[in-house]
Amino acid sequence: MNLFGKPLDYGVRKRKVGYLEVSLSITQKDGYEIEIEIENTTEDSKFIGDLKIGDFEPSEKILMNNYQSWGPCTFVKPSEIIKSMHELSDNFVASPVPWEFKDGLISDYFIADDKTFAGFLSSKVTHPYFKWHDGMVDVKIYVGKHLKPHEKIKVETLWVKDFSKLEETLELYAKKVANSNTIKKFRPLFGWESWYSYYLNISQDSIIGELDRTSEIGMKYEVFQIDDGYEKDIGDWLETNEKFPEGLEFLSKKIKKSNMMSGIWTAPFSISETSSIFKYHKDFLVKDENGIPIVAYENWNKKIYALDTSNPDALFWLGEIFSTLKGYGYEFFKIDFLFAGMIPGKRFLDVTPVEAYRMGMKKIADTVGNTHVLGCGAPLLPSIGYVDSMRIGCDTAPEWRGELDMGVSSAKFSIRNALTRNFMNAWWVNDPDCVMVRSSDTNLTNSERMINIYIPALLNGQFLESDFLGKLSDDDLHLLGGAFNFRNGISKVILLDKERYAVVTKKSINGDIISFVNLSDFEWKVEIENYRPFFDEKVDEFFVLYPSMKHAKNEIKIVPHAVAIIMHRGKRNLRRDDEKEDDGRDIHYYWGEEYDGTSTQSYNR
Amino acid sequence: MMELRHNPITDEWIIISSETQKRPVLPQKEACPLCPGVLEMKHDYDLTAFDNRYPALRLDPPEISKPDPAFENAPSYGKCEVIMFTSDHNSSLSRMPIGQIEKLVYVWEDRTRDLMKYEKIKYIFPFENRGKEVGASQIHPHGQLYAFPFIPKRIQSMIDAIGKYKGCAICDVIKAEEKTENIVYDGEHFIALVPYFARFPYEVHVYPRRHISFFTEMTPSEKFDLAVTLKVVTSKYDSLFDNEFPYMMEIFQSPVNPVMKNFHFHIEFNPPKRDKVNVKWMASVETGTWAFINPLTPSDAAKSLKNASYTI
Repeated sequence: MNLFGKPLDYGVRKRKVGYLEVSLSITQKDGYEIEIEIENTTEDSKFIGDLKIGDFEPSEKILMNNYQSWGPCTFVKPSEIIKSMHELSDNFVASPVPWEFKDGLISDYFIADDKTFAGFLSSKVTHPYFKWHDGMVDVKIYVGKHLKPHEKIKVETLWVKDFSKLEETLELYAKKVANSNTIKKFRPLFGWESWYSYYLNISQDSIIGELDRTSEIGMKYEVFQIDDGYEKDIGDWLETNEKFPEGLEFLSKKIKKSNMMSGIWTAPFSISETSSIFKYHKDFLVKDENGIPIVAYENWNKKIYALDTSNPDALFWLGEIFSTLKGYGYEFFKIDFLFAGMIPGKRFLDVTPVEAYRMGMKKIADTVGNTHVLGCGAPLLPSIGYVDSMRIGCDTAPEWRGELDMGVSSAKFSIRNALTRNFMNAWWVNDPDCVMVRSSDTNLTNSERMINIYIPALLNGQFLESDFLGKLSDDDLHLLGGAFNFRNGISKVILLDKERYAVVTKKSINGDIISFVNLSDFEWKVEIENYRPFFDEKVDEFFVLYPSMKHAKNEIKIVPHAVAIIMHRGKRNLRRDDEKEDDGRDIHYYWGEEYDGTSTQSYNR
Repeated sequence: MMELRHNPITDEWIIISSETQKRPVLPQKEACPLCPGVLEMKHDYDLTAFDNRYPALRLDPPEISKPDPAFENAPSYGKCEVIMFTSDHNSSLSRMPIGQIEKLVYVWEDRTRDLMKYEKIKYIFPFENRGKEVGASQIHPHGQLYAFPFIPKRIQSMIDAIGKYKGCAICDVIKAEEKTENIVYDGEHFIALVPYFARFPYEVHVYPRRHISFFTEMTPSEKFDLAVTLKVVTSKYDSLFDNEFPYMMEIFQSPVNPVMKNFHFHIEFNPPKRDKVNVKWMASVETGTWAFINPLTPSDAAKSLKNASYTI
């Protein structure tokens, strides 16, 4: 990598870039860490847009990452896909700097080719990204605010490392990012949510009906979350539509009576053109240079504008919404379409889009306090510390949809991102999106359905189920129960190529597991022994294929769109403690190696 | 009163134990004596085995008085243990993770190895009574173990049958049933089936394919597969009528002191239910003559169980 035209080496470098002086302080810390400071050297206030720090010539295949929840994180050959990316050049869903797509491809926050990894450790002030164009990668940041005369700001730190194992480097990157941010304490939850059964067609009656069915099927759901469809309009979150006559507090109380956390969906930085808040508070919106509100995106057949979270009145309004919902008893907040809060534009305060976004996120996090926040459609790095869990892939779907890898709903690419972004579990609980256990009303094959259910369980992220509970067959419910027992483990994902992954899981409820995920359209032959470096040997070792529970041979064939789940077992060593009761009776305590007081709990009531 | 009394008419030993009358019956969760820190276990646990507070047999039995010369009695020597499957009050074999059942198999093995050291112990019998229909006094998942100082009557009849049979009856039953539709679960090392000669409706036998006599002879792979098989069978039972299916699960190992190498380890599930509502009672014919009338054709029971969903 070259920084200001010179190869990477430790030391301090300064360079005049237009009216800025950029200082780089480079130290060797398991690779190179580059602290970056920029100063407006003029006597005038200057708007700072994008800034190039360095560049490098990558190999043909690159691991690229989109900035927000839904976007892909995958291996690409940029020269093969560059043409299809031009259409994103005005799309804030795809990027906060979409104009860069006019002549290039963007990887946000980090990038890796076949030997070098480069990643920024935070996004608290600027938006850091890498732009591929003409066979080169530019290392860039987007600031998006004015610097006062001689104002100096420290921006995001870049880490660069040559690697031999990408997976280990991603883990190290995750740790470094975690150390550079304040991480919330979190744990994965098991719950039900309404989206993939009802979509927008929820009603008070249907929610109550599903609530009743949770106790009938006997699953120990921890969360019951109402998704999109209850609100009067996007932005008018506290007003319910006619399908919810008794309002949100009524439902929260009902849910809590069923011993679950009540959950509610909102898109707090989004305001539709038909909402009351849009009608009465255009001052709350992010605007262009001419003072015209900027359309952040279009959805629900409406134009959606962005909340200016630097505006104190807008922030107060935002806080009121969440304190009211919290007052109603809601304890699980799925906040969606968050990227809207980070679009570039003119705001009440002269802050960067990232700073504004974080002001909004902080307001929500502070208001809801010790409850659970699930981010979705969210810029990733700027959200760290404000969410307990984070969607890390596109919407899933009851069909495979293996063609368009552009963040649109797809069972395949939802799971693919869960695999490639597994290392982000260090920042929050990854939410790979809902599992659907239904065997009817789905276009997924049985093997595709196994991937959709079992990979989220193995990766031990959020485990939210979204089916019509009354329509689930006994077999469906048993499948869910079976998947549940693959949770609680620690998984490492081996990125073999963009379509094939190995997942090595330790200490799941079902013990140590090795899974091979074949997202490709071709059969895959795997030799378990080739993966020996990734798992420990066991005494009297044996391998069992799940769910057939037959012994696995060394070589296994995995059909297209399928997962092979292999239980890695051996002799158990139970610890025995002998004690005497007061009356002299013997009592022998037996302890499994993994016992922690929770891992043996059953999933149903 | 605790003693063993011999019935000269049937040549069987009866255990007289008024202690067992004192045991508590079906408390609420808050009062469950088997939950951690309530009564039996002072602290958290994974699995335990402990001496029954209300034993029918004990290693230090009370002295007995000599009966009328027409009768024979003996001290209630032996051991009655309670085996806790998990600290999770609301679990069951059907709901437990496989690994937890696997650990239970190791506990059964350890208890067998421990108790066979007592020379006067002749038969070690782990079992589980599940459901009030079969007299379970606690819902917290647990089983029991009786270490007898004599060979119980039905075990003796198994031994007698082994003596009369050329080869191993269970090995032959496995071969024969594998050709039928009576297999409920076809595991790697164990097979679960409704036997041709089932006594109870929905009776299931679990046999190891390898001719082994004790838990102590099982390989880790076999122990794991036994755990899988037990989970499948009990999970299918619960699915059958969509409720917690009561059963008696009886584990038959070889007698000990001396051991009998040609005894084929096996497990019997004897569920009392004949359908969702009705129970098949051990009535006069069954109790008086040991002749069982099974109201359900075993192949029909096998078909229902084969089709029943299960969690694995």
